[in-house]
Formats: sequence, structure tokens, C-alpha cells
Amino acid sequence: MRAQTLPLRILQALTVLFAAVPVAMAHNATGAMSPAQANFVLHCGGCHGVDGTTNAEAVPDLKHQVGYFLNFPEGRAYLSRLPNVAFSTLTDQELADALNYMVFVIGEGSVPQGAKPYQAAEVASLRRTPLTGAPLRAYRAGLVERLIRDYGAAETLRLYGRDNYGVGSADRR
Amino acid sequence: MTGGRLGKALLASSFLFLIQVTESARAEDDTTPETYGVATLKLPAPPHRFITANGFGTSTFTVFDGDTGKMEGNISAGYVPNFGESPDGSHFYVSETYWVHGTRGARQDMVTVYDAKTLSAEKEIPIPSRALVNQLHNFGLSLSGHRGYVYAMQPASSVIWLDLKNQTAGGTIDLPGCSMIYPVGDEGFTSLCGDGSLATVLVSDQGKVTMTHSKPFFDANRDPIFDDSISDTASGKAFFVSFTGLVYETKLGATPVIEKPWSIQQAAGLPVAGTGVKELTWRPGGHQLVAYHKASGKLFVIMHMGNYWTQDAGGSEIWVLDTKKHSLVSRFPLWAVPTSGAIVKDKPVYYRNLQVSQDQHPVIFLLNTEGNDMVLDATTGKLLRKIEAASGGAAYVSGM
Repeated sequence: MRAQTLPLRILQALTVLFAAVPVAMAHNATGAMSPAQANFVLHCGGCHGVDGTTNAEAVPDLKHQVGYFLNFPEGRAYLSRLPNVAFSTLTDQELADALNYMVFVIGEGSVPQGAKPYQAAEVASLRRTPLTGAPLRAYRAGLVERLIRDYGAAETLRLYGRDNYGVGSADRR
Repeated sequence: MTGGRLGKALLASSFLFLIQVTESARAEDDTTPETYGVATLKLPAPPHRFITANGFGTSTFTVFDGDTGKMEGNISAGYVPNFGESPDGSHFYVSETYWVHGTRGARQDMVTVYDAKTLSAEKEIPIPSRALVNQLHNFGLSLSGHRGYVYAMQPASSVIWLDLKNQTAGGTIDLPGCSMIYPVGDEGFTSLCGDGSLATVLVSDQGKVTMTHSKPFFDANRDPIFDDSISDTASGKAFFVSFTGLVYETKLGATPVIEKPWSIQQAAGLPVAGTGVKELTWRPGGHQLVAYHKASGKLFVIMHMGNYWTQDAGGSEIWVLDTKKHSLVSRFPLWAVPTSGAIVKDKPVYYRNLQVSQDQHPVIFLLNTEGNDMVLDATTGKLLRKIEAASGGAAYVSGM
């Protein structure tokens, strides 16, 4: 399933659902977007929000917390082995640039000191082994517990994936 | 009785008399007065009954009699809902989402179970929240109807399975890198994956899940498969149609068998369509663009003239294909519908959704977002009737 139909409809759906998110957030001060930011908005922002926040229980918040994953190699690999990332139509270089925008700009404040930007060759290699076999949400939950326990990551990382078989809480969007 | 009261009573009865006179005068004018009441739907459903999804965002599902064009019932639904009918026709299922104050407040996600005769809501099965995607194969029912499946994008893919015998949610199944639901018998479902494979998930009665992947058979970047491709749960027969017009007939099962593809265009005596952005030819396109008539093995596909990457365009013809001989049976030209200007200025809007009834004298239900629902003879393509209803979402029939 690709690209051209599904995300468009998702975007349409989300436009309805998250119509209250100010569109202006996607722009920098001059009103223009870098190619990396534009790719983030087009390929990731539909679900994650153009500034990296939407509904933290249904979609992981990226803002001020996605950078924690760079604390250890498995976490760093996780971000580009996610099927929705690995299967993206972006080239390796474009994908590396979009990931770097996500980690260093959106994830500002959560990136460990001295973390190196993603390189195209690294992304090329990682995306060849997408996480299609693992129980993905449990795998993420394992990484998150390590991040909180060993690296002092924010506990809000735990918000995602709480199954709500019941009436929603008051602040769910 | 005092004079005042008597006066009031007389006044009231004279009103009644007046109404009676008016009504009988109307009857003489050949106008039958309508009364209100609660109707019930026929069970089993007549073969030409169809149900449409209307609107985007909050929706309704409307029941139509294709033989008379009459609207028979209406189900109000929440945001970006999906619809299913139990195999025995006794229940309708709507997966839906509400916010208690319309667009804000507490969010509630559920699958609502309706009695298919009275359209009264019997039960709400709570499910977790998810991103809402307007796709046909977001919801599926098993062969017996004892299981239901709701596709959930969070945005990691998963499927919420339902135990419909007990009307409860069973749990959530991870489906990384794959999406949509094509039910496989009573055992599970198959999904389309971004690496070009099919994932088949089997769920035991105890909720134990096993997932296997087929070998990749299509290239999701070069020639993807329409997620609105079609499958028949009873026979396990599926037709996965690619953007260029290749048809991959597949036998769904624990290990799906994917046949060598054939080309819709080649079936019609044209060259196999390629992926050129300037390559103008007949191409499949639309939303619910494929329908299958099980008894005759005929496939109905909405086609348009366009370049590659025009797969969302509505069609100006329906092509009828023989899936056994891989040949074209007929081409039904459709009618351009003038638009209100809101979507495509100065261009006619064509048709994006079709469905076909499963009886021996099948009809096609054809929808567009601007004009009327249309009922066509599926053998001749003749327009049988127009129904004034801007449905446009999707059309459902019993048995598919």
C-alpha cells in the first residue's frame, strides 16, 4: 500500500479531525520550509502533527522527546526501521535529512549530548531490515522502559499505546 | 359541560373535520397521504437492496431498494465510520467514533451492533482509539460472522479483533508494515504490506495469533495494489488490482496462493499499461473501483483515460471482465455529471464507487459525490433508475 492513495486519505481524515491545529506552525519565521521540514510535514506530520504533537495516546508525541531514542544504538536504529519510515518513498538522503529534522528540531531538548546526525548510508542499511516481524508496540514499550530507567527520559513516552477498551478520558482528541 | 368547554370541543372537532375533508380531497387528487411510523426491513434482504455511506466526517448509512429507488432506512453514524453486514443478514455493524461535544470532549470509539430488521442499536462494543482512515477494508467480518476486525492505525498498524458471538472486543493484533483487512474464512485475515507481500494473520479462539508473510509479489513504489481491491470471504477468492491495471487473482488461506497477474488493458485488446507519467491510456481509478459477481465470475472495474498516477480519478466507463478467460465482456460508457464547482471546476465529475448485486439478474449500483446514485443493468449497462442522493462514500450489498 502506498503512498499516493492512503496517506492522502489519511491526511484528509486528519484535516477534519485535527482542524484546530494551527497550520502556521509548519512554517519557520520567513514562511518557507526547508526540504527536510517539508518532507517531515508531508510524510510524518499527517499523524504525528506538523510540530510533533497530536493525540499522545493514539500517536506517539515526538516534540521534545523523540531524541531520547538516540541514547543507544537499538533506539537509534528503531526510528529508521519503523515500517512507516523504512517503506517511505523518500531517498536515503532525503530520509536521513527528514529524520535529522525530526530528532534535532522537533525533538529539541531530548537529544543526548554528542549525538551524531543520521547519514544516508546508515539509513540505507537500517531501512533494509524493517520491523515487520516484531510485536511492534511491545518492542517500543521495552525501549521506552529502558530510556526512562537508564537515561532519565520523560515518563510521557509511556502515554502512547495505552489501550482504551472503554470510555475515553476527557482530554483525548 | 360549560359553554366554554363545549365551544372548545366543537372547535376541535371542526378542525378534525377540516383535516378529514382536506385529506379526502387530496386522495381524490391521487395524492396518497403519508403517515409516520416505524417500518421494518425485509429479512433476508431482497437481492437489489443496497446500502450507501454518505458524507465525510460524520456519516449516515442509508438503505435503498434498488428496484424502486425508495429509501428504506437510515443509520446515523459517528466520524469516518465503517460498515458490515453479518453473513445471515440479521445484524449490521458500524465501527465509529464520537466526541461527546461533537468535535471536542471525551472521545468514544466503538463498534455498534444494529438489528438489521428494526435498525435499533443492540449493543456498543468499546474499542481503543485510532487514527481514522476512510477505507473500505478497515472493517471485516469472518465467514460465520462470529469474528469482526477493525483496522487501527496508531500510526503503527494493528487490528482490533472482536468476538461477535459474545459481542466483546478480543484484543489488539500488531500488524507492522501492513494494512487493511481481507477476512480468511473463520480463522483470520490477510493484509497488504508495504514490502509488496501479503501478511496472513490467524487468530485462535483463545486469541493466540500467528502471522506469516507471502513472498513479495508487487512493488509498492512502482505499481502499488489498490487497497480497495476485492475479496470473497466464502470462496477465499481475491482480486488484487494494481494501479497500472494488473489483476492478481489470489486464493486466500493459511498460505495464500497468488496467481500470475493478467492485464485489464490486454484483456481488452490494448497494450499492457505502463508507468509513464505521459502514457495516456485506459486505467482503473476511483475509490470503490472493483466489484465482483461471484456466480458468473465477472469483475466490474471503473476505468478512465489518463496517465500514470491518476488512480484516484473517477471513471467514465465500466469494464466488465471475465476472470476465467481474462477477457473483456463489455464496456459500459457512463454519463458526465456537471459539478457544483466545489471539487473540480469546469470538469465533469465521474464515478468513483460501484457495487454489484449477487443474484442471477444482477444490477450495478454506481455512486458519485455530485449527482445521483444510479442503478444499471449489469448485463447490458442500461440505466434502470436514478436516485436523488449524493452518497459517494461507498455502496454495500448482501453477500459481498
